[in-house]
Amino acid sequence: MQSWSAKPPRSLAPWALLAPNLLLLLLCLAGPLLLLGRISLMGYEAGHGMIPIWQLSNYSKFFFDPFYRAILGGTFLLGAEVTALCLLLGFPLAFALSRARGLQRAILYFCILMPLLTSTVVRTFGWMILLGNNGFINHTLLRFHLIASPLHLMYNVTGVIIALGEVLLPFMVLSIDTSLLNINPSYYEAARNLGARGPRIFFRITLPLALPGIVSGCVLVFTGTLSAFVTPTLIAGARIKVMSTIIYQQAMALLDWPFGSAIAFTLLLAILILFAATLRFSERRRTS
Amino acid sequence: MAYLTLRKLNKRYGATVAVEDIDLDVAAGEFVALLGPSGCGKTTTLRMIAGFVPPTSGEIRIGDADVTHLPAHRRNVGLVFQNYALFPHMTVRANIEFGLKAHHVDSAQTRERVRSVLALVGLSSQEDRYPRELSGGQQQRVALARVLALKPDLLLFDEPLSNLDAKLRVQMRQEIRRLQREVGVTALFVTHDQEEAMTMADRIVVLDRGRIAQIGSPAEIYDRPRTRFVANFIGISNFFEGALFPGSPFGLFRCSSGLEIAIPPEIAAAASTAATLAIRPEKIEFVSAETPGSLPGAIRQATQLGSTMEYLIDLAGGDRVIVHEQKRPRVPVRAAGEHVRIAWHPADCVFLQSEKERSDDRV
Repeated sequence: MQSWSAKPPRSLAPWALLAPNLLLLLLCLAGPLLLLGRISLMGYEAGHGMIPIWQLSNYSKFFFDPFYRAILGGTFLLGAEVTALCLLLGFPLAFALSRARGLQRAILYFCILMPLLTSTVVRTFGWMILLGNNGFINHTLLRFHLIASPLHLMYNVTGVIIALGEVLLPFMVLSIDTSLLNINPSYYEAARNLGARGPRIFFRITLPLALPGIVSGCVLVFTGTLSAFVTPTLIAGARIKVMSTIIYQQAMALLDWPFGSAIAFTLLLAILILFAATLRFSERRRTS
Repeated sequence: MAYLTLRKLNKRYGATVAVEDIDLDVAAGEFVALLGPSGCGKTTTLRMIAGFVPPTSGEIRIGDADVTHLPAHRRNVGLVFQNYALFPHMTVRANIEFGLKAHHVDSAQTRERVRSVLALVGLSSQEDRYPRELSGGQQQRVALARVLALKPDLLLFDEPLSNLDAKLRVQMRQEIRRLQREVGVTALFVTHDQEEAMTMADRIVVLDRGRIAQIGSPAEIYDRPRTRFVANFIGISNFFEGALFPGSPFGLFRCSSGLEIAIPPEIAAAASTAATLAIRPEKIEFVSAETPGSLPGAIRQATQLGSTMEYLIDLAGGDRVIVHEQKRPRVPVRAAGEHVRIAWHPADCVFLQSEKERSDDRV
């Protein structure tokens, strides 16, 4: 480390090591993105497909048509709802995880990671079995006369929130756990020594110091929701439309590649802005 | 009247004894140092007084109150942490206000107390800074201001100077003492640095393996150590194992090597037969051959200690002693190989409690 910072490295070795990765990213990510960007500016004719005329009408169509604006708003609302659910469930879990030691922590950690170890399709079908009108949940509740008629958990937003919340919860928990573990235990002792009790310590010490982890967890869950495709498609079916499903619909069903690309680019831009804002937030906290 | 009282304080972790039968009385306004090597139980004792560690048995009293089972947040005891533990997301002012708000002090008084403690530690212009923008010494002062704002019954310091550089450490010793005297608060100061304890404390409590080895003023601890551990941990000493020579009118100590040492009769009367004799290196003088009772030897090694020289001397009988000699004008330092005679005043000898007796009664 010292020798690196003492004089700037002249050798090309670091670049040579990075080259294979950079090349792959350039070919498989940056390239297609550029292509997608170009397509999003092309024209479209029904039955004809893409026609090579440069224009911005795909973007104006998306932003001025109330139908698509509602989908954009709905997708963001879904993102906010899933994020809120994950935060609500994730914080206490992360709190418990950060205080667990040894085997207890290992077991808890494994359980929290479990949703990520299952394939999306299998997991989603699992939820369909649980959430359906004749599914396990409704069946049980009806059996014990806790409800009079089945709850509508499938083919609506509720089901999507539950299923996405499950798979994205680990990102929230692990992110908060990391920042909780980074809090020096002497801060808690100092707070107690100064006369503070549980709630005051939690709201004035624990929560503010865990904020970077909470924010990055929220960003991960939010962007994860925005880009989810399989879960909303399988659980909500055709009834609920989110950005990712209409991108698929435009591109694969209607073969309107230019419009699909424009929606995809809009989604990407929204996520990038969110990331940049969070990055700025955490940078400011570090330097203030 | 004792202000802080520890009675038969014990802490065990399973079979491990961290603190054993600590009895201590600290007078109001007194500054007492808990001194010992790492693992001697000094920090555990401090943490029991702060309320972070429940004692296995024993009693802790502050003023008239038994606080043994009082939770940490209800003891009005200020602790200055080794790493200061300043809240990183709060300004200096917010750090100090934290405790005042927890104690529901009204806002006018809060402002006044923040102002006065910052003036006390000399950081009045820094109240809007964050801890990371302050130097180590300034952070130390904020940590002190933060606990002083609560007007604590007792101040506890957990090796607070160990993260500072040498010059600043010496400066902060005086600063802490000045503040403690000014406020008049009773203080307990944990340290492993004997110099820190010697220069700061009214009294020193030397801890060894969870027990009190000796309590006394810095001078008593240095000049009259009671055990070999104390004699060796605070400064260095020459030790002679041996026994009193019976039937001698003035007191004579015969070492196992055969060396005979004169000792004052009042000590001879009080000491048990088998004992250890200790003598500080700076109490030994180089003398001429005519001096009665002087011991012949040869310098094995001469080491520069700055203003003093340290000589390692092989005595004729096989004993080896360390002598410290102050450098003086026009007196050349001695070289290895030189033949010398040494002597000391019998009154400077210290008899030590046998370590064996001590380790026996532990089992």
